[in-house]
Amino acid sequence: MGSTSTKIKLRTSDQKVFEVEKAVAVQSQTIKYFYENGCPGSVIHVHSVSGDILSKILDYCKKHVNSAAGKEDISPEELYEWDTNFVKVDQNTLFDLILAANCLKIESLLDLTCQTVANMIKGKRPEEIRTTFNIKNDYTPEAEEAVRRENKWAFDMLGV
Amino acid sequence: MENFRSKSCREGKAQQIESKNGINGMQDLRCYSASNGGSTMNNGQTQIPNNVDKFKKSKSSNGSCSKSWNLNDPELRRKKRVASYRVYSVEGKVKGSLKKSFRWLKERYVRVVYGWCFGYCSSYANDPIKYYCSDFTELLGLDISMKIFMNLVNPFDLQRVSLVSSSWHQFVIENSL
Repeated sequence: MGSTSTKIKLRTSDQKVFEVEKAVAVQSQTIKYFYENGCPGSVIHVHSVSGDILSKILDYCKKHVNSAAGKEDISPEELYEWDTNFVKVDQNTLFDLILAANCLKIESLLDLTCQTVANMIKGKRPEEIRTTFNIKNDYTPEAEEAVRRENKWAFDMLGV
Repeated sequence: MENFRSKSCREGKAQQIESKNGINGMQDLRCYSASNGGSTMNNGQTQIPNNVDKFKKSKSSNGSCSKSWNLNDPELRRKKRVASYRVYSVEGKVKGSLKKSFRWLKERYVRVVYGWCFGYCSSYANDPIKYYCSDFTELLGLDISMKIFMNLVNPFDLQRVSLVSSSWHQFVIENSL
């Protein structure tokens, strides 16, 4: 059980089966739990994740496992670079990644993706945020003005 | 002439009755209309077809027709009847235009609502992001949204976030970010 060459079979929501090295798969706390508490060798169903997303997540896990185990010669900066490129996806995929990371309990990936979304919000004006995330402005003009005034007060308090 | 009028009044149903009652249908029809007025009160006689019944109910002012019964002058009777038909036609026109305008309004609204729905769905088909991100806080749930907003260390950003939409404002306040 302890050997890294053990394979775990994962079946996704679209019925694709992935055969993954145990060390990679157990990056996900959920898979780890199912692996340890289920029968070894059985297929673990990952209902809420599609094949495309899972293959991406497995890439991420592989990269991180390999770099941590020293199998791949990669500096932290390079890994950071790789991560940055990894999350350069469209919003749809990004949110899918977040949901999958949350469901599979892969903390580092969840942090990475949430940080990415936060970076998309940072430094943007409300109008820009709305267009970025396609959010409908449900404020009435008066309400918006009231919140603006409230915020102005908050800014003053902060001494900005 | 008269015969023709009373036929048109009955909207074709007269023919049915006429065939029942033979050639002297005119008189018989009148009788029916008189008796019918009473029959609608005590819920109809079996020999009168239902359609006629309905017809009677919808145009209850037909009573004026049978009232004119008491006046003996046939010419006056005829004139009264003609006048009452005109009232019907005007009433019908008004009702028709009202109905039309209501239908127009209804269709308008239905189209707007459906258009919105289908627009929504079709935009989902073409571009899932539009469906997803009507608001990503709803998609991702409270915990993950919190996680995202917690990454915004600059208070400026949080202020801007609360200005995006009232639900986000609510979110920021409720979770005291």
